[in-house]
Amino acid sequence: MKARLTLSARLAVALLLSAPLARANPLDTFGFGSRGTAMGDAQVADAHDFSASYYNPAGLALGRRFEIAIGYFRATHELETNGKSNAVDPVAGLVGGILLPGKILGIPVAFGLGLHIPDDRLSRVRDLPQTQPRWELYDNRNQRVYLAANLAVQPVPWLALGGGLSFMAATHGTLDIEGDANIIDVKQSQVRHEVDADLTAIRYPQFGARVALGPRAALGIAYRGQFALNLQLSARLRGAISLGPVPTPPITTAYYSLVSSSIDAFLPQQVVIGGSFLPADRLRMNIDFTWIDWSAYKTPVADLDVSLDIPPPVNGWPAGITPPTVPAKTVTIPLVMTDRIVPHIGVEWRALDRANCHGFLRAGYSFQKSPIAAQTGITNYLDRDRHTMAIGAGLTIDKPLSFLPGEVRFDVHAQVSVLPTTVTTKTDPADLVGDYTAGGYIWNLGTSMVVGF
Amino acid sequence: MKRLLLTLLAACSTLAETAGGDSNLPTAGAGPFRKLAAAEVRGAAPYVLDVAASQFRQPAALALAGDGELALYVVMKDAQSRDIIARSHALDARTFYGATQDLGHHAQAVLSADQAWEGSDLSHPSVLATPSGVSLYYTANGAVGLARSSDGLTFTKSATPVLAPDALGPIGSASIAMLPDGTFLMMFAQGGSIYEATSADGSTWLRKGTEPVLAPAAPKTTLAVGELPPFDTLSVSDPCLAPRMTPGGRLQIRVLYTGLAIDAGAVPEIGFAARYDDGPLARAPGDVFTLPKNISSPALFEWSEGSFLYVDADSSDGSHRAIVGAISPPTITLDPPGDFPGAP
Repeated sequence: MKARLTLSARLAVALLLSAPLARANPLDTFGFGSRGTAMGDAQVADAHDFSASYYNPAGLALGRRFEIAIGYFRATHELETNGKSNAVDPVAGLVGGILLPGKILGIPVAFGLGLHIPDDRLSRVRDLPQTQPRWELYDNRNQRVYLAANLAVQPVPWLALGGGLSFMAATHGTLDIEGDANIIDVKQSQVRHEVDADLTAIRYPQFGARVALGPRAALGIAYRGQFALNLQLSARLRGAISLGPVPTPPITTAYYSLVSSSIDAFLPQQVVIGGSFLPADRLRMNIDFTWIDWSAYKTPVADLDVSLDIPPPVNGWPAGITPPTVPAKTVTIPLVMTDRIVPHIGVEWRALDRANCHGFLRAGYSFQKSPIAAQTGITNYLDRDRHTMAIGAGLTIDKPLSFLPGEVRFDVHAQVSVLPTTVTTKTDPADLVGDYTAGGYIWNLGTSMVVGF
Repeated sequence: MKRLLLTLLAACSTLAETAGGDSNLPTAGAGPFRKLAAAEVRGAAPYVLDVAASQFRQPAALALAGDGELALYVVMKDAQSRDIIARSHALDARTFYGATQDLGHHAQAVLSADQAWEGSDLSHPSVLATPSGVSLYYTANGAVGLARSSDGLTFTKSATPVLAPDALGPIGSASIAMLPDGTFLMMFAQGGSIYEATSADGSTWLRKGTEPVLAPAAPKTTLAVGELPPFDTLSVSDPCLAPRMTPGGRLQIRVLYTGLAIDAGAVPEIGFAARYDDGPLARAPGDVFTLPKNISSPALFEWSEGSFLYVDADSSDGSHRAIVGAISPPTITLDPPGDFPGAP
């Protein structure tokens, strides 16, 4: 036990202070771990395994065994506009975590680690014109790696507290182009470029509490901080303009600079309140309400700062050559979103109850009214109300092997989100996107295994 | 076993596929357009119908049975240097019968001036499929004529124009469409503006008032941040009507047109205006297609993946007129062009 405490403390301090930690939003959409997903993500007062790193860090303190979890899920989007698939990328990858419980001065403490690593890409950045239709909540934001580390403590038997840090990366990049431009024969131009990209870390807090009302009921509350992933790109161009191939003396030198600043992904802060109840020995019922601060959402449109300086040649511009001008600045139309309270309900029935083997059947439901205002103008942030239904099953085996004195739990889930197809109508008849229908389904299948020692 | 393991490892070490999410995005089908690229046409892009002696101009598109298949009716010079109307045909919307590379084939003449009121030249075809066949409208001597056909190749003309010039002047071009209720709508250019007329049968037309439905835009001396300067302050002409029922169930009257600014040195650009039902036409800000080739006379053809725009333009050496192809959405990458069709 002493060795375990030392390891736990070292891990906690190292991870929380140096923070190679992260949390992101694929889990908001698809859940974390098969048990929680199958129960409609109604877990704030119930999660007590590795998934508590996401649902409520306080739940980690309820763990009594060292646990390692590993799993996989794949969410496939069948999102359409005008009846045709928009080919929104699936979100798929490994999920997992560690729960490391112990005691300090006789008080139960625990360290938890939660992880999601996508299959295809660790992160994705996009910078689209505000007029381009895109599934704002599903297209880009969920393509993230997730890593979170939390500490939890149970100072008295009826109370557990937990919290941790989260991390995401922000992108900064610079593109420098320098050279000679032949404006008569552009193929004779010679340019050199240099790219400098930098991923920097951002940390975010999350914390929660769980209050046991007795052996059959508990309440929980969790807070998840907001974060904005900034995408900053700058480009500088310096070119000597000539009328012939190098080394023709230049007639002037052009300077162009562009700084683009945008929000690549934004996760609004959330507060989750919920309860977990055992109305019967074999039946658990959970209900959560998640307040999501969507109104703080940052419009994901680049703010461009462009400057162009091309001094006219001493003898004026040659006939037929018109120097370029700075493009008109785009006026950003704010993305209006409304705060939402999302209900989650979940049930778990212990269908199989043997001496060293327990089987569970689970079901869940949640509903999120779309937070995005009707897109009747030039912007096209696609979204629809989302009904999410899930089912799942679990099997727990105690002491399955002689060298494994704990338990092994296998869970599976199947989740479908229905986004009813509705029409978006445009106010301006000359809108180049025009009216459209949008809707579809999101299918999410997955499994996870928890091994307790 | 070792080889199998290496193969499996190699299979795992692949890069992610190109990010998705941009397929089949909704569009009104009217731009913005990009000119066709070299790999997307036979011959010199963006030209799809370019024969110096023929001087192809003023295209009008008629959708045929296959997806991407159309007949293109164009004005061309005949052997006597008169302007006649000819028909070409493409299976992929780009590879036209009688193009320069289609050796031994020529666009088929389908209509020439032979009525007393027509003068010597025909211009601005507008073609549409009706329950009784194909109706080909054209302009001659400032009036609009009508010819009908059962096969789209052999036409019988009406003896008199269906819309004659009036006090507002000669009619420069006209575009006709059939609405979902079975009635017909015409928009025509007259004196630098666009007007409209309606018909119950496509033969007898009634002009709707004397006020234009689309007039040149008012010049602007100051622009708001982000506002584009109007490109059509001198004239609007060459309407191309393309009504549709939107996914929202509304009748949308779409019009592509040629706009020209009053500024010295301005070049024509293609604009887009539209209305719902009987409301006023609203302009899209800015052009939907431009090319420094003195473009005009837009024609729209829609297929399952997007929209093609055909305009007439100066040839690459500026010696004659030819038909340029463009596509929307601009992000589409077309497959390599197909074969030339066997018939016009």
